[in-house]
Amino acid sequence: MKKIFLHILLGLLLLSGIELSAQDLRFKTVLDNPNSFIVDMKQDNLGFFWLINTARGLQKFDGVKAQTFLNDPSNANSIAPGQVSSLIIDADNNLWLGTYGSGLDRLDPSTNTFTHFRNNPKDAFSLSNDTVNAILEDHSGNLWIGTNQGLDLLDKNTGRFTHFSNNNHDPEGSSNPQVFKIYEDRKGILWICGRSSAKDHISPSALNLFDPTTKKITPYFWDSRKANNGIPGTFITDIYEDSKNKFWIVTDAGLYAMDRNTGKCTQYYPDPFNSSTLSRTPASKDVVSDIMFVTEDSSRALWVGMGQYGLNRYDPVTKTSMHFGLLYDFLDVSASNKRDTATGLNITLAIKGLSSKDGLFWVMGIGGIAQLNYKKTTFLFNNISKAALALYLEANGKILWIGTDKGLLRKDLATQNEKLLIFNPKENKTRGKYIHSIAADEAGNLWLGTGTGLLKFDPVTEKYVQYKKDLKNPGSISGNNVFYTFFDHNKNLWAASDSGVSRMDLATGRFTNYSVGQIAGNYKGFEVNRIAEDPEHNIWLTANWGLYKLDIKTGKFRKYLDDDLRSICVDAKGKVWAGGWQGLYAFNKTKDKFELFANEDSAVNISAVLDIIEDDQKNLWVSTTTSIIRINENRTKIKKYTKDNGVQLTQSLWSFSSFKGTDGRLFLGNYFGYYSFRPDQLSDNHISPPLNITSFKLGDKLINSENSGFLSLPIWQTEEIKLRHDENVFSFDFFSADYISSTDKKYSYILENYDNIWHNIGGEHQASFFNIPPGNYIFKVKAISSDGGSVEKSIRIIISPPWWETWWFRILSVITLVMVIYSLIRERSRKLKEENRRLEQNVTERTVQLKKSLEELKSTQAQLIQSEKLASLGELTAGIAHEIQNPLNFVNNFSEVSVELANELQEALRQRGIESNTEEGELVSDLIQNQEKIYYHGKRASSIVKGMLEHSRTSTGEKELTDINALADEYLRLAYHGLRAKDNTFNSDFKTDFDPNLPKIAVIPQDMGRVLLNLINNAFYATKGVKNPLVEVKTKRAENGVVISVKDNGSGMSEVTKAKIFQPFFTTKPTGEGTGLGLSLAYDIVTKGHGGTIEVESEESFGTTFIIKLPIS
Amino acid sequence: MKVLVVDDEVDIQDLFLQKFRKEIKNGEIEFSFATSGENALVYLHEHESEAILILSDINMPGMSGIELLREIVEKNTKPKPIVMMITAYGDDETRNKALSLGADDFLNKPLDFGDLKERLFKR
Repeated sequence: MKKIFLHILLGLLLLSGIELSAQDLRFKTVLDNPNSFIVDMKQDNLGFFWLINTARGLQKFDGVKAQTFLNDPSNANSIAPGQVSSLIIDADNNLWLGTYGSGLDRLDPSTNTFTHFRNNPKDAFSLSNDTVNAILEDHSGNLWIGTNQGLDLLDKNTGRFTHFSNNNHDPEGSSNPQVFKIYEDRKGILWICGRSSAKDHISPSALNLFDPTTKKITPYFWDSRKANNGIPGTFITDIYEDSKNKFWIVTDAGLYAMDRNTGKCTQYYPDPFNSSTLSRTPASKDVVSDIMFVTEDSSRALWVGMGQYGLNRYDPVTKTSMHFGLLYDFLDVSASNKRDTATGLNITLAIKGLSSKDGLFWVMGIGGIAQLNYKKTTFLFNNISKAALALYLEANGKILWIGTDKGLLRKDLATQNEKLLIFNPKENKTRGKYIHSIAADEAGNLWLGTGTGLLKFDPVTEKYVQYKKDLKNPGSISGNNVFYTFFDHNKNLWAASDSGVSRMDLATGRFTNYSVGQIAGNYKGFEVNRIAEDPEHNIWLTANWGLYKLDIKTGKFRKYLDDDLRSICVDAKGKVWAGGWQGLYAFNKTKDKFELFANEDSAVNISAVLDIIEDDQKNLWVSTTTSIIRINENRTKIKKYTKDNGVQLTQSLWSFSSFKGTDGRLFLGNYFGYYSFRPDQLSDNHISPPLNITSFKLGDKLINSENSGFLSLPIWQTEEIKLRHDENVFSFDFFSADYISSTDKKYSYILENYDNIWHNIGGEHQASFFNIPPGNYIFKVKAISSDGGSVEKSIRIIISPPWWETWWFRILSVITLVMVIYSLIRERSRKLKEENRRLEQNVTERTVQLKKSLEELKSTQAQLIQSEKLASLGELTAGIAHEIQNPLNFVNNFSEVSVELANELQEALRQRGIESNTEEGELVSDLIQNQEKIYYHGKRASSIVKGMLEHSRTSTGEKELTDINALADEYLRLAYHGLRAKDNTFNSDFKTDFDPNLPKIAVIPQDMGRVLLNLINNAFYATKGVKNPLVEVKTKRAENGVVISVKDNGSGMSEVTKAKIFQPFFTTKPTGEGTGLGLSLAYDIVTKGHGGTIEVESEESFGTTFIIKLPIS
Repeated sequence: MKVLVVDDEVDIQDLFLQKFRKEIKNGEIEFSFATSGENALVYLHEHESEAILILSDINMPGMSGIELLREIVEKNTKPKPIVMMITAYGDDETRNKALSLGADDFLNKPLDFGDLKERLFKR
């Protein structure tokens, strides 16, 4: 009965007086294992915790995982067998372990190798006994070991032990050399605890002092004969000197504060059943005698561990105590496994307490390790058993109006009185009670968005006016399910509904409705749930699946985002924020688009956003279904509060709207209530946890400062590592001792100068690199905690290049190269100068030649123009001839046939007796005569055409090596005899002068023969009627060719004739004797056909010479 | 003997008919005329398996005499028609080409009918 009463009393105390601190002071179990029996725990320089787990042995704990060290008989460097009794970590980060029966072990955590120190009876400098009970490193770095044989001092350099034994006689009985505990107080005096020989108090030999100045052990002696003067009990469990120099001693008899000068002890009675003060008359004697430890936390509060009775925390400022843990009662079996839910402590037997560097308080014992972070923020959640959809705090700060799914709740914050108002529940069963939104006008009326229309509500009289959709009235509100109400800068009311958004003119009560598409009466589906206005008076709204901007002038919407969005916030700088299922977005005005600020994949993930609100300090508060997130004013730091901070989970993405009171208080709605807090009063002094590189491996080999030349210091103190070019496979382990958010920890790393990006590796804490080329690098690692804080650590890595890539080799190569190039350049420039001089000389010579050539060219050009003229004339001629040929053929053929026909006609007439002397006969014979004349002249024309066609004739002849002398001779004779045969008056003579050395050249013999024949014929013709007519044909070898000349001593030609001589149809012969095509054709054959030249020299009355020059090839 | 004269000049038809008046009357020779290579092919197709002597001009709009010759040779109809080409004076190149393609003979323009008659009746 008494116990039940105490339980009730305790419950009342927890609920009323210290409600807020109960929420703040909750333990979190970090290593939860009912079989664990953790008797001691120490944190090393890198932040790892080392545990003595009686059930398992030595364990290393990083906040998430515990690594156990086991004895391996085959490995001399593994942990010693036997139970670990004690543990310390020295200034060099070495672990010293005391064992029961296996001596002293030292562990180098950078290599995980153990070094053993054992007792050797033959060695006076060995450990005094293999059972080590206590280890201490004093302020000057000396290592003290308490064994079953006394106190040892270890010289770390030599590994030698110096023994200090208690030789003082115990006046109260036989002395015992065992040392169980060593404690150094602030004066540097060591307190050495042993076993008492007395039964009710600590005997003189069981508590000795070592004075480092005198180096003597003396018993802490007091006059035991005086009653009640001494330390009660037989065994000292704990000694602790607190921050106020109070000296606490815990014995098996209880907790005592001792005056070290007088030895006077005052007993304290921490009572789990009545924890309001540190000391009072105990309710149970068990409790008093079961005290395990006393220690202080970072807030200077005193913790008293009471074994199975949990813990008491005594706050010296408020002078109140608070109990933590299970009220374990051995007698009451039914309550034995009941865990304490109020404080979260799951440790069934609290053996030791520890305050770590980061300010956390740890309790260990049976059941694992629990952690208390009482500096953390806890949000006070006000449970109203209804969804807080909308919140509004009256300006006086006393009355809170809450829109819920069950009606409008009026809550008096002073009296905590609540009153629920329900409007129009009959109109719609499911949504009739819903109050989605509250907005206040200047007159103090509340405009409520409800499931059944818009309500204007007077909070004083509690009377209301309902505005509903009226299909007949286009000036009515567009929808009846009103999700949000909002006043713009013009004091116009905006109401968001399931059918769009409506603006109400408060003076006229008329609504202007806007919806996507602006189709009257067809607003279905455009559900708007939030409205905001930016400084430029743009209206922003979130609707089902999208974020829109409304242009009021045009009534048009512009869609910006595709997400299930429930919230918009325009911050003090005018930036528009939007939150939705996928994350938080911020508007980039210059780009006119929303950019993802954070989502599930971000360092601090933000998703399933319920609402966004800005506080008076310009922090942004984002509430999500699982967290409350604060983004600082510069939007650079994100802090996330989760269920550890009292945040409730909400499964669905409802629209909960937040509210900021005039006093700066924030109200955030949630599924069963709301949070209220003042952002400026949240305690939030988080110290960034240290981040360290914990090990370095080259290939598979773990490198430490002792086994290699790489490191002179432990890796976590090393700033630079130098490696050879072939030592390019390495890895780092790193660790951030962030025990507040150890499961949310995220690491990323970069090897600068090698990687371009940071590698996000989540909770992994190792980085490996393969085949890194020589160069200078910086390895950087970053740890990001859940509150967005990040710590960075870096180490320089220099991989030296092989000798052929070293700087000196390169410089040498460059110098050699430069010298070689220099000498080459010198030699070259000398040659160039020489060359230059010669060139200049050449240029002068060539210039003279060029001048000459230019003159020649000019004359050749004139000739070329002439020859080109001639050539085109020849082509023209051929063209004309071709066209004339066909009609001419008809003339000839028809005239020929006509002659035949006419002859037949004459014959036919004759047979009929009509003779040629008759009229008909004469006519026929005239016709015959005419036809014959047509035929004759047609033939004449044909032969001209034939001659003309020779120009275009594609020669069938092939060039062959020809003896020009023979050719000329042959054609000369042919012409001569031909002319003689034709003309008996022909009396010219001829002469030849052939060069006997004339080479054979490639010509078309027929063509060239024709040319010669033509020239020779002309020559003979020209000599007609002159005295001693003579034609001379000459050949001569010339440079690169042959020259053939045909000379006559005939009439010669005038300059005019000479200029036209090669033109087609030009002839000096009478009509009918020449076509004027002979020379023209000759010209073509020589120039076009053979690439030669034909020239004429002539003088009137003296004769003419044609000179043909033919090239050899 | 069947002779197909291919020439785009229609007047050539009168010339042949007048020149070979007696032979035609006596049934020694029968002239057909085509004004293009294409028409000639149509004619040949219609008179397949008849022995025909073809007398073709070279330069015609559309299919040229050479192309016609190539077609005929490629078709390889039996009996093989005798093809005589009429080439312009001096156009040795075309003539050689025609012969290499399989022309049986060639005549120069202007046509020497006496010579033509002789050659025709030799065949």
